[in-house]
Amino acid sequence: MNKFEKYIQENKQKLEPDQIDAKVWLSIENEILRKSKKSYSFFIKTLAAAAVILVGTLLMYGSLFKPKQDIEARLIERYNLGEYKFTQQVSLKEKELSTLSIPKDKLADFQILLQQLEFLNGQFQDYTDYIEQNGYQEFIGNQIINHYKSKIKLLDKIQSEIEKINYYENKIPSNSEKVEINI
Amino acid sequence: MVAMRSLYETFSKEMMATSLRITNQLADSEDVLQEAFITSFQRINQLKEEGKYGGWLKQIVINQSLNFVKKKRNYASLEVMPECSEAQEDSFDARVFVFDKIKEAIHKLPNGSREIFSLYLLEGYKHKEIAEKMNISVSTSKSQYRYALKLLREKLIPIYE
Amino acid sequence: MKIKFHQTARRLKSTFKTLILLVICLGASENLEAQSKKVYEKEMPVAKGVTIETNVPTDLGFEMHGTMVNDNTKDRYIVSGKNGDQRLNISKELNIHTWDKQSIKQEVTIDAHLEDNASAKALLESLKIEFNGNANGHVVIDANMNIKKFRMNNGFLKSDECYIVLDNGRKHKINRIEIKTVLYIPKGANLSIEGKRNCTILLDDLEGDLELILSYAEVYGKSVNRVKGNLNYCYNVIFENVNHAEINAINSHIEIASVKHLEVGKQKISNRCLAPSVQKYMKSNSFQNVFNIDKVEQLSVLETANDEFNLKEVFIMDVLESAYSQYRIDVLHNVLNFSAKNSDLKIMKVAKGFREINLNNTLSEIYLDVEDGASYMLNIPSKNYLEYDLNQKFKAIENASGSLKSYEVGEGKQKGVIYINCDKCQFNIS
Repeated sequence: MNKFEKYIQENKQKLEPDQIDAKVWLSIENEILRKSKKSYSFFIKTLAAAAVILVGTLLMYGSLFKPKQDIEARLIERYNLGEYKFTQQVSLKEKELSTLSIPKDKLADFQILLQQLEFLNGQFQDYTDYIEQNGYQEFIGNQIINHYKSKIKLLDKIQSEIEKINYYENKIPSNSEKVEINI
Repeated sequence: MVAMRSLYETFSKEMMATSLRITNQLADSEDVLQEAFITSFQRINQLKEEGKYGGWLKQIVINQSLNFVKKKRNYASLEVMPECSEAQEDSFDARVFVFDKIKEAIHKLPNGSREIFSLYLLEGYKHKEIAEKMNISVSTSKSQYRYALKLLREKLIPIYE
Repeated sequence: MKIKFHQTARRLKSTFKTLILLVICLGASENLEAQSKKVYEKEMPVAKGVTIETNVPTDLGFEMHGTMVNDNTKDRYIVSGKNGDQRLNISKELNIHTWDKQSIKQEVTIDAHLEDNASAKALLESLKIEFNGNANGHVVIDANMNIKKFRMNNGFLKSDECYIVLDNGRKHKINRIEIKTVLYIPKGANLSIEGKRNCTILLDDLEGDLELILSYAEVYGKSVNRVKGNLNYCYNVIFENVNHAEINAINSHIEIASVKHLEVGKQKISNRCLAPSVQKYMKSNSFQNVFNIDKVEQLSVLETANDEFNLKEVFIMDVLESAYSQYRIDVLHNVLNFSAKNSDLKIMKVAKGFREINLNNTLSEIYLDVEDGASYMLNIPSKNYLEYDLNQKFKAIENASGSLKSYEVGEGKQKGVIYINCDKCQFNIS
């Protein structure tokens, strides 16, 4: 890949249109409302799931797209997610960790922490299932925030353990192949 | 509705750009965007990992855009293009790059080349995946990509050199 | 034409008046509701050694379709309908008082708002406290009496429609209901509490055994003889004095002022605490917990991964299997057997009369501050990569095998022994 290709790839956001005709959203909204009249529970479930996904999206894309301030403000107002910035912290930490690697022979020991991460993700799935069944409720929001706090703590732990392993790997190399931990 | 609207606001521009590079028609891409968002909201419960909404939506947009243009275009007729020389690395200067010109140049690429250029460089597809999606050979995808690069280089000569 | 106009005008005026009257009547009927408050009480004698099983008030079944707002404060669990009107208000606190009487008593306060007096009467007559089981062995108490679930529906054009569904399947339409429960149990009884939704349990002194199978709960207990806790995401579990505690927990905070014997991670947390979607990821018995213990005579950590222990004072401590956990001990009095991986250990003061510190670990930081005046031997296997620096008080002892580096500190007859077998570790001792 030459510099030109790399440059285009890195700046592809600049190729996006400045604005989109408002009628596109209006058509989407009309269609959703039309469907929601047919099935109110569909609307509630979809809305709830979209809310959860939006939080997750900010988690994954927050740092890439820098969502507009007004979206953030509205989210905070609607769902009282005053602490939703945790999601962005998680995103940053996951990105940071995805670039790190450890010697292959240490991977097995590391599974304990990775399983805990899976446990937390499973727990999150339980929350989204609850929202799908019962709609978004504040206490689930609080549990989601607690979930993020736990996740941040765990990711910090994983990071410090990787640093520890690599500190000793530099001192006394094991000659074991380096592998990514795949978070 | 606020959450859906927020998702729309977060992703619509990127999705529109992706679709537009495939359909090359604003009206067509607006239809694609509308359909893709509605589909995603309808099937939102099927999404396993909430953080992957953007990638999932992108797949829907690309598939729907390609389906849209497949009715109008015959990719099977795309040819393997002759080898093109690689761009001169040193002649590239990002400081004088004007993105509006690039946008315009991309839209002026021939149908087929533009889609391949977009899917490969901007959407991260592999040539094998593009070949499968567009029902063409891998070598056609590769050569059309190089051809697109060559055309862009030619069109952007004043700012490229 | 003019007469016709007047007739039409009169007719319209009369229709308008009728409409106004109708609106007023309808409005009035909205406001006309019957409010009934009643305290239900039931007391029943039980045998000594009885085990009482109860759930938590927030474990009421819910069935909700439409728009609702859930206000989950520290004390109340409130569900409001589409216009923000409160429909359900449950006290999240479950007060469990213990007394010297050999009987159990439940007190439930119901404050119900219904459409009319007849409906209110019908509901209040249908509600009753039932103790199930055998008064000599197990007694089951439902914190919400015979209320099985709360059901609420609303829609774009439909206002809130709420029902209380009883155990027998009968449903009662309500506008709003408040529930608060208090339990009284014998001091010597055994108590088992199970709950999946967040609630606050306030417990008096209990001489019997306490079993907790809880998620998202807070527990404030005083003195308890034995506690077995299965705790999932319980952010505050606090006790004053415990004789014996077994804690199998995930992501919980446990605080005990004084405990004689604490066992951590003896077995996996009960599946009854966990959502099915996470059960397969349960690989460790105890993880992501914080233990803040003021005084523990004997601590046995049987299996832990990524827990945090903050211990002010510990006499005997055995860590059998520990990974990625952290230990901070203010004072270690006697013995520490520590078998771990990647587990940092910091002891701010090893009392000078200590007997033994036997440590097997990897990839960790170890810090020991031994009290001045202590006499002990320090043994370090030579095979390990261990970063450490010893000051002048450590006198090297010739060792025949060469596989062990030994040092001596102090000249007292009663010598403690410290054995540090830690590969890829940093060791700091002073």
